[in-house]
Amino acid sequence: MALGTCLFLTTCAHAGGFGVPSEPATRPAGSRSAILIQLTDNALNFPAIAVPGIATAPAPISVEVISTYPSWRVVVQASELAGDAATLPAGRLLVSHHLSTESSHPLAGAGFQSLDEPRVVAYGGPAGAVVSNTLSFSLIVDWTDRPGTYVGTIQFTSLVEP
Amino acid sequence: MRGLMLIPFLCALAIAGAGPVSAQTEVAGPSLAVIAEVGSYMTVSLSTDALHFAVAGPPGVYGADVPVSVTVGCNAGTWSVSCAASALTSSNGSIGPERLFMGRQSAPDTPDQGGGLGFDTMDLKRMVTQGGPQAPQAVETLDFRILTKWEDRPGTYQGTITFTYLMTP
Repeated sequence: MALGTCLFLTTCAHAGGFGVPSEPATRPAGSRSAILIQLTDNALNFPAIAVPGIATAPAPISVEVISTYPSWRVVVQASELAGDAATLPAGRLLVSHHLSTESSHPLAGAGFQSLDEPRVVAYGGPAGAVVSNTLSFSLIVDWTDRPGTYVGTIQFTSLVEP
Repeated sequence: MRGLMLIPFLCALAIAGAGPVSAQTEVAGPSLAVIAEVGSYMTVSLSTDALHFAVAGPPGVYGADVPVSVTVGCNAGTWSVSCAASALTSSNGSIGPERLFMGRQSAPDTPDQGGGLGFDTMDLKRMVTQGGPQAPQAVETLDFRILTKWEDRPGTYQGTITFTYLMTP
């Protein structure tokens, strides 16, 4: 079972053509199932924001999930973005994709959800299914956000049912 | 009393029987580094784009038809807005900027320089207002005056008052 899983994951990783080195298949202790989450990039840039409002990341991020669990979900959540003298709250980061329908932020368009709480970006089952999604990210900047570089993280987490 | 005792017992059974419907395990996956580069931005807007001085009487000081409200929004640490006037010219002559006056409603005690108490002559570039990071909001209201003399020939005189701003990140 373990060998079959590895072969399957490797094949799918190449078929997807994703440019980021494969994330090692993760499995909770004592479990024989595994889940692999791959992203097309490992960084999300919002370069040269020159006006307040909603800044859209230049390129979307594609996520591909391969799992042998009978039921699983992948959620994303952001940290706050830290600058030299100030921070941007995690809720200013927004994600939109085909699973998101309702906007959770008054300034954002339809389907944009703020990342101050976990948002489901993929789910699946039964075992062996490959699920992909394309994520568009935006950032809300305000008049009172001081100039500078802000850095943070968007974490992908899988919730699996063994 | 027996019934009252039974209810908590049944509730306890129900809770114990429910248990975890499905034990979910949380597994950390990859992460995206997020980098946002916020630049400096500033906006300055005026409540009007033209002033008229209706000088229909003898030489003296005349006010403009409307005050000018200045609205500023900026994310820089400090900013300032200044303005300077050109001469007003016509085919019959000109009126120099030293005969134009600007009054800031926040500074009503500016010494009289020929245009009345609270008014600066505009022979120099004048500071209008300054501040720190803020969303766009009205920060100053300006009144303008002109001083005419017997030597000014009849006619229409035109010029420009230019607003400039500076910001320090």
